[in-house]
Amino acid sequence: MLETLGAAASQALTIANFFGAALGIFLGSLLGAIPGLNGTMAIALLIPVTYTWSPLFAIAMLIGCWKGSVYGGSISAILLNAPGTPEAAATALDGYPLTRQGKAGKALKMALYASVIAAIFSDSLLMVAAPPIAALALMFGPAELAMLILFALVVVAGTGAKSQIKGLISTAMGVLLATVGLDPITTQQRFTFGSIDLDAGIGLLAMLIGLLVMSEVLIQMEEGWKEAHTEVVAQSKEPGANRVSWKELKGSLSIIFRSSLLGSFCGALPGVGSITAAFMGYDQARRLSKHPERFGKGEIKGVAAPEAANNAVCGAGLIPLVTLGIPGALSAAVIMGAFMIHGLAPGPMLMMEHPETIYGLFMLLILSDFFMLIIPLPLMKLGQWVVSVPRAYLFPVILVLCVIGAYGTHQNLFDVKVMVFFGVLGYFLKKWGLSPAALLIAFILGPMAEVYLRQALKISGGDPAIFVTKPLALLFLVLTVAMIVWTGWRHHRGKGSLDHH
Amino acid sequence: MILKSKDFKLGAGLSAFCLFLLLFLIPNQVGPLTEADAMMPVLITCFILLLAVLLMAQAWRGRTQEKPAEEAVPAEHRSSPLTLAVVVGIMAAYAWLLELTGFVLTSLVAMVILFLIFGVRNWLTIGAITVATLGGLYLCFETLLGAPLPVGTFIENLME
Amino acid sequence: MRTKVLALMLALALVAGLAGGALAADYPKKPVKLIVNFSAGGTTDTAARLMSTAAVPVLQQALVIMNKPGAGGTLGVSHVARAKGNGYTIGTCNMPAIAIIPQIRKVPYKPFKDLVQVCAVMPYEYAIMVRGDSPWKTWEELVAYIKKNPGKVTYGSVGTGTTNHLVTARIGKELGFNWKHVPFQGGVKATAALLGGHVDVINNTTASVASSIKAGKIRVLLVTSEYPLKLAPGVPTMKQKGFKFSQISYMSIVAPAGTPQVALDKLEAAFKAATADKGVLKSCGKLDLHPKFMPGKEYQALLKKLSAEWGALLPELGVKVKK
Repeated sequence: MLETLGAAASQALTIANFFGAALGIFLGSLLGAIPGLNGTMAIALLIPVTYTWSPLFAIAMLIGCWKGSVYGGSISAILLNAPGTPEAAATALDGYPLTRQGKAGKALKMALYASVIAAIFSDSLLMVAAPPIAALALMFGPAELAMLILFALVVVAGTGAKSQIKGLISTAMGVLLATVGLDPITTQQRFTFGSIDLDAGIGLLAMLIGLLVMSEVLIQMEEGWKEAHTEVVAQSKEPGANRVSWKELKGSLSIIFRSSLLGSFCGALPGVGSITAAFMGYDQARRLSKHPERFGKGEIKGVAAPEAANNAVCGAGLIPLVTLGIPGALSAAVIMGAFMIHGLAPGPMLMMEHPETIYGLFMLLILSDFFMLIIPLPLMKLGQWVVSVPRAYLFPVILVLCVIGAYGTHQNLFDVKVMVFFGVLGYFLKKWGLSPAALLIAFILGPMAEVYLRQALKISGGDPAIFVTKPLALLFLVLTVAMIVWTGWRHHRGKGSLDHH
Repeated sequence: MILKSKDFKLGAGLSAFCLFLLLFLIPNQVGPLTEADAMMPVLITCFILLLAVLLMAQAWRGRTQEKPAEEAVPAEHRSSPLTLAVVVGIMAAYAWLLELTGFVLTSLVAMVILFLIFGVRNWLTIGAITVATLGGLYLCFETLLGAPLPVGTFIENLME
Repeated sequence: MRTKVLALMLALALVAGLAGGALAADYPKKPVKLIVNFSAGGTTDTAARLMSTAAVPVLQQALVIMNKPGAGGTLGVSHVARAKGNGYTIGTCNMPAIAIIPQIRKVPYKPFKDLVQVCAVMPYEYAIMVRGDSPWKTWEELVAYIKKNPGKVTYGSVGTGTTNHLVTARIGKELGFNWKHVPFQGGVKATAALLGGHVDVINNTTASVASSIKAGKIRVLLVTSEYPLKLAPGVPTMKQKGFKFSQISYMSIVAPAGTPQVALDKLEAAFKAATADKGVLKSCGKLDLHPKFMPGKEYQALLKKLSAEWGALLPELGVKVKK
C-alpha cells in the first residue's frame, strides 16, 4: 500500500500536474463566473483538446475545471443575480440580496469558504470510503429513486416564489416543460411540433441561460438601468461587510456540514446531480433555521448552504465512476470520456489495474481544493469591479455571451432560439411573481420522477406495492408525507401567529 | 388592488392555457389522453388548472399575501415597454439570422445596435468592447477549443 | 450597363461551375466536418476521434468533429441529411437511426434516400448479462428458471426500440417465455440497476462494462452479436444456441445523398485505412472496442435487410409504431 502511495505521489505531484489543476480551476471559475458561459460547456469542449495530454494532467485539469465552474457560477449569481451555472441558481436567492445591501464581498467569501470545506469533505469521502458508498448508491433502484425524487420535489417545490400557490404553479410548469421531447419509456414524440430538435427535449443549459440570465437583463433594464451609469451597488459602510467573521463561519459550520453530506449523497447517486443538491441544501438550511423568514432577503447561511452542497457533488460524483464505471453527475459522465481516451476504462478493475494513477488523482483532487482558496480571489475582485461598470456597457456583452453560451454546449443553433424564448418567458415569470428557479429545479426533477415511477411499475408489473415493500422506498415515502404534513402545520401555525398580531 | 386584479388575470390566463392544452395540444401533440405517454402531461395540466383556479379565488377574495412593491426608481430612469420589445426583437432576429449570416457579422451588428439602444454614443468605447468580446470568443472557440462557430450559409455560399 | 453586369455574372457562374467540377477531382480541398451523433466522451465519440486522426494521412485534410447528440442518434443523423452533398459534411450513424427508429416515429429524413453509407467501421458487441453473484451460471439455467417462473424475471435495455430491447424481446418470443422489459435511459443506468439487483438481466454493449466483467461483478451468459467475444471466452453466441438471428449493429459513416462518388471513394479509403491502423486498434483494444471495416454498398444492403426484418416484427414485439 505504502509503495503504491509512493508511486502515486511521484506520478501525481509534479509541477506540470499542479499547473494543470490550477489552470482547470482558473478556467472553470472564469467561465462559470461569466453569465451565459459555463463549466459543463467548457468541459465538453475541452475533452477533445485533452486527448493528446498525459492522463493525470488532463483529468486533473478537467476536474479542476468542473470544481472551479461550480464555484465560479456563484460569483455572477451573487453579483448580478444571473447565475453563471445551473448549480448556482439557488445561491442567487440570498446572494443577490446581500449584494443589494452592499455586502457582496461577504457573500462571495462565504461562498468560497463553504465550497472549499465541502470539496475537501467530499474528496476525503472519495478517498477513504468509495467502495461502501458505491454499494449504498447501488441500493437505489427505480422504486427508491422515484420516492427520493418525489421527496426532493416536495422539499424544493416553490423555492423563491412569492406565495405558496405561485411556487407550486412554477414547479408544475417546470414539470410540464420537461415533457417536451421523446417519451422516456415509449420513445414516442410529445409536444415536438414535428421538429427533430425538440425530439431531444428542451436543452437544459439553453433554457437556464434564457430563464435566469437574459430575463434578468430585461428585468434590470426595466428597473432603471439608466441609474446604473453611476455605481449601482455601493459598498456598505458597515464594518465587516466585505469579510466573513469567524463567528459567522462558525455559525454556518453545521449547515455547511449538513449540506456537504447532502451534496455527497446526491453526487454518489447516479443521475441526481448538483442542481438538486444545491436546492436541497438551501432548503434544509431554511427549514431547519430558527429564522426561516430571513431567507431570500440576504441571509448569509442561504449562501453557504447551496454552495457547500453543489461543491460536495464533484468529489462524490467520482465515487461510482471509479468504483463501478457509472458516472454520478453530468460532468462526471463527460470526464469519464477523458478516462476512456487514455485507456483507463472506468469500473471495478480501475483501482486494481491502475492504483498509482487513481491514488495520484485523489492526491491532486485534495490539493486542488486548496488551490481553490487562492485562485478565484482575483476573479472576485474583478467581478466586484464589473458590477460597478455601468449596465449600459455590460448588457450588450452579456446578451452576446448568452447567445454563444446557448450555442456552445451542443453547437446547435436551435438552442439559441430556445434561449431567447425562455428569456422572454423568464421575464414574465418574474413579473408575475412566479419563480424561474423553482421552474428550473422542477424541470430537472420532474422527468426523473416520471421515469423512475414508470420504471418501478414496469418492474413490479404495475403493482404500486413496490413503493412500500422496499425499505428505502418506504423510508422516503414516509419522509415525503411527513414533509407535506410538517409544511402544512408550519404554514397553519404561521398563519395563526400572524392573526394574533 | 392592482395586484389583486393582476393575479386574477394570471389565473385566468393560465386556466385558459390549460384548457387549450387538454382539449387541443395534448391530443394533437402527444396522443389520446388515456395512453401512458399522455399520463404525465394530463396530470400536470390538471394540477396547474387547479392551482390557477385557486389563485383566481384567492385574488378574488383579496387575500393575496404580497404587498405591491413600491419602486424606488423614478419613472424616467426605467426603460419603456417599447425598448424592452425592441431588445427582445433584436435577440430574436439575432438567433434566427445566425444560421444565415454567421457568428461574426450577426454578433457585430447586434452588439452595436444594442449599445446604441442602451444610450452609449461613444464610438471608441463601442468599437473597443465589441472587438474585444467577439475577438476573444472567436479565438477561444476556433483556436483554443477547435469548436467551430457558425459561419452562416449565406457567407459560405459567397465564399464558394 | 445592365447587360454587361449580367454577362459578367454569367461568366462568373460558369467559372464557378467549372471550379465545382474540378473540386470533385482534387477532393478534399478543405477540412471535412464529421458530425458525431452521440455526446463527447462516449464510446462512439471516442472511436470516431481515434479513427479520424488515423484517416488524415489518406484524406490529406483534417476532420473537424462536432457532437450533435440526442433523440437516439437521430438528431445528428438529420443534421447530416440536411447538409449539402459536397463531401465536406459527413457523420457517424448507428443502425437503429436508419433501420428501426424511422419505423417507430417520424424523423425528418428518409433513411435510404437522403443518406448514403460511406462504410461501416465498427460492430457494436452486445451480450445478455447477469450479476456476478446470481444463481444462473449458464444460459440454459436462466432459460429454465424463466420458464419455471413466468413473468418474474425482468430485463433492462438501453431504451425502447433499441436493438437491446428488440433482440431480447424476440428471444423471449422465440423460446416462448415471458420476461418483463424495463427500458432505461442509456447503458449506464441499466448497468447500475443490474448491479444493484433491481433488474435480473440486461442486454448492453460489452465494452461499456468490460471492467465489471473482468472483475467478476457481471457475468456474460449469451453473446448476442455475431461472433464470440474476446472479453467472454467460451460464452456461446446466439448462432451457436440455434437462433437464426443476432444483434447486428454497426457504427457507420454516412454522407448526405448527392455526395460525388469521388468523395465517397476517398472517404471510404480513408476510413478503411483507419480501421486497420495499428495505433487505432491498440487504443480501441484497451476499451474493448474492435473496429472492423465493411464497404458502404455492402452495409447499405444489410441495413435494408435489417429494416425489413425488424419492421415486420415491431408490432409483434409490442412496440408502438408511428401514428
